[in-house]
Amino acid sequence: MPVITQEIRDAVKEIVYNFFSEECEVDRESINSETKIIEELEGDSLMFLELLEIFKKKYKLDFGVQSIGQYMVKHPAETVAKVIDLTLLVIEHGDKITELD
Amino acid sequence: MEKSVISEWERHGCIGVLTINNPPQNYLEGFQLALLEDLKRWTNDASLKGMIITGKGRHFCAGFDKEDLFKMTNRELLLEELRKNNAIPYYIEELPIPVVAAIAGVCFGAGLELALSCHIRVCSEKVLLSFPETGYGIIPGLNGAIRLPGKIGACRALEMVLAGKIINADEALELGIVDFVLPSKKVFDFSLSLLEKTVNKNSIDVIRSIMKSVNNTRKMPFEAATEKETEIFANLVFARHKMLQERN
Repeated sequence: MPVITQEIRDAVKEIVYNFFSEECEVDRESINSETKIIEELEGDSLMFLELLEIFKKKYKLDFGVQSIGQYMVKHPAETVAKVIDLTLLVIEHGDKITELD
Repeated sequence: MEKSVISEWERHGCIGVLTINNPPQNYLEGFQLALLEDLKRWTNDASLKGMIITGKGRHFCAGFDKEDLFKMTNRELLLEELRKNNAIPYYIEELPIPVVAAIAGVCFGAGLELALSCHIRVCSEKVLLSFPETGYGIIPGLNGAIRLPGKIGACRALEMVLAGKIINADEALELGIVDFVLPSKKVFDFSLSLLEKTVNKNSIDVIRSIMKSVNNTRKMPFEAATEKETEIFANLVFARHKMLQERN
């Protein structure tokens, strides 16, 4: 699992913003860190799986979504900022994310 | 447009389109996609030459809602519901017209079982396919563990079902679970155009005869299927001969 650098942080932010802009068909400029995925972008809980797939390919990650799902039950990612934070945790810890509690 | 449970039915010329409409995730309602009698009524139409199954919005179908499933405490009732709903993918698989699953977003569990019962699968580049049931201590409930090995072999099916592995579009194409991969916005139009190109020039009799032969390969020994196909061929030649005689 890669160590999180500023470069990775910037890349994740860029991909997350572009993903929600494209998938929810909204201007990228209208999205900010506090934008709510479900209420404001009309997104849904399964979109995070699609987003993780992008990072799985980009960083050649190997993890099971069930452990991520378990973690998300306790730490729901409702805003864009929380999605970015959760993505960085998944990139850094993979399946071991559940051990962070 | 007609509706049944979470399905909507409309026609695009000779092609019928069944849209799973329970957004955002398009979970089956209870265990239902549509009533079988409605599906039979919609498809029992001599002018229908093909069918597309698609999902409303971003996803094809996320399968059963596990909260609905685990609320069910009466075993007999559960069996009855499952048997009733098993009849839907079986009916689709047996239809004498080609059925295309136009899949985008998430296609999980019963959604994937439904897609596997279609004759052709077209999916988006960002599709995710999975049988996540083992994660809840159960198995696919609409015969996915029977249909999948028939498509990709027991070894790869076991790996996918037992591990509850999520498959992306590239992997699905490589495994042979899907037949075409396209950008999300082109999936439906491609499916419609594929069907139209395939069936438009053919008579209903020819389409039904070919589908019958193709479907027979799945359920009959090779010799019985070839014998049936020979009969079907002779019937079509005889029908053509009779039609030419009547014309003259």
